[in-house]
Amino acid sequence: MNAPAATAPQVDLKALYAGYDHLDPPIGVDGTPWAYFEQFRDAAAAEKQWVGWSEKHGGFWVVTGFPECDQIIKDVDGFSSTGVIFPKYAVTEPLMLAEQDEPEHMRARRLVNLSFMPRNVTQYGEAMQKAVHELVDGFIEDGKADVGRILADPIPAIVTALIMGLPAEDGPLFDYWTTAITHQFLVDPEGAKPKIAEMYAYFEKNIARRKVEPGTDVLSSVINAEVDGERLTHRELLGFSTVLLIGGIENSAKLIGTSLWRLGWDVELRRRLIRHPDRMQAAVDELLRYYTPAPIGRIVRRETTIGGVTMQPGQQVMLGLPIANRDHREFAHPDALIIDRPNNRHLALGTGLHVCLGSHLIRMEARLVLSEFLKRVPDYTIDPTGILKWTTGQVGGMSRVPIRFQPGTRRGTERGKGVDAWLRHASRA
Amino acid sequence: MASITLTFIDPTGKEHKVEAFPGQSVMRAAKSAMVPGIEAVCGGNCICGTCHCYIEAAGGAALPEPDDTEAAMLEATPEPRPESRLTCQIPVTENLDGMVLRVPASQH
Ligand code: HEM
Repeated sequence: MNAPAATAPQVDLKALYAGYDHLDPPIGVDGTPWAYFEQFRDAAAAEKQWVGWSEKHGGFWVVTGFPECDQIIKDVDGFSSTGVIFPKYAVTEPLMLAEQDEPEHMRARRLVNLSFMPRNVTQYGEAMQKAVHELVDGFIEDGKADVGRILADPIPAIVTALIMGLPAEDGPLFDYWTTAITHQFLVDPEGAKPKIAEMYAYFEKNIARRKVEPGTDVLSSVINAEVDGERLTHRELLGFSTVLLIGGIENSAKLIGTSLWRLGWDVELRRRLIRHPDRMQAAVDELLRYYTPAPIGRIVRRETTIGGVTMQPGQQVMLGLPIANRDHREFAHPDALIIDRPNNRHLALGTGLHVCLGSHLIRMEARLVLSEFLKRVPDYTIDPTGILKWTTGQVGGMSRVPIRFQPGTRRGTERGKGVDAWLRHASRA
Repeated sequence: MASITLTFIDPTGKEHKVEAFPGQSVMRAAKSAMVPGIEAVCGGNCICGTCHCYIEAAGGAALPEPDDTEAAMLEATPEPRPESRLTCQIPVTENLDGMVLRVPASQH
């Protein structure tokens, strides 16, 4: 009956829950936290205990089961999104959309949703492909590169600039600001503050410009969106710009970085995707499930009993999506990467009312980046002499991916300003 | 008032006859009868696309074309077809009586 229990070694589940720190999971010999997540899942399955109490960060509930996470996400009356990020980031205002509850959330979501549907984001496909080729041109003759730093990192920043109608060469600024908000603030809040103020001032200027000079970008369409006579206020537009930066860049960079690492050693998968490029979209979803970048949080609003524990109003809950997406009650063979997995209902992009606004954008982005990269570098290995790095924090994933390959030739497309600025940024940092 | 009956064919091929009422959406009627495969996670706000169905027979009704928002959402569903609709956007009226809707294999 308890299939996973048979092989699970003796572990103290209560201690696992008590020591769970989503910002700092233990890294295994493969350089990732996945062995730990799998062990955690096995222990939870063996005792059928999918909820537990962590003593970290002042104490919070940890939810590791898929149906339990799904139920909490969909229970928007019982659980507030004000606790989505825990501990909180250094932004002075609640995060637009992500930290809003009903009915304010739906009012805002209806105003922006259409701008992120496939018909509005496919316009960026060509620019994404072009950026990949320019970046690859930068290292294709070298036979080696850190594709975490030089491909996975820049693309989401360049894409964010595009959809916000900002100059692509400002991409590195976004990296600088998001790092200040999501990492520096935790250790050096005073140093991070002026950077955050600078970011707000920059967005102010951009919004003002787009109001008089609208373009075809997503930000312009959001500025002009009207539903039932309502529009977003100036302050909301500022919040919206911030959430795109925080929600859009780090997650995406980690998904792409981790995927490039996997393709570096999983030769079979790489060959299959080169032969059947039409499978790439499904593969991206399976990679999202398998290497889910981030957990999400909620705050209990109404006393709720779930997974055998009773949660009290005001308590923080973390939904361990990386673990829940490996729950065998939802996914057959959860620890196998199966790109043709039918009805892959993973929670990596959330579900329900707060489902990731950028879900179509990131699916397309990851598909195009991986496919175009494999066209240029079909055969490569992880460089054993280079430094491989899994970054932890609210968002986890491979950020340094050193590879080696047969040198190729440049396509010689003129290098755009966005890529140029990024290469200068990367060589400085 | 004459009763209005809608038929949903769920992903396993099983038929569900559902009584519907004017003032409801077709999605609400399906949810009340717990038709498998109709998720409607956003509750009828046309932002999630998980109440997607294929209209097999429209009963006596000539449905108005989907508006822009619905059309954009339909494109985002896994397998859109010409007869695709989001059921939260179809108000129940008496001439829907006899409508047959097929629930897609997946809403994701
Ligand atoms: C691999 C990449 C990404 C991952 C793993 C991811 C993950 C998520 C998750 C799990 C949520 C749900 C949060 C919750 O329920 O509390 C979410 C929401 C959101 N995401 Fe993403 N995301 C990604 C990329 C993006 C991109 C590219 C954008 C924007 C361009 C974006 C913008 C947002 C926004 C605005 C929300 C809040 C939506 C709402 O509350 O209505 N995300 N994301």
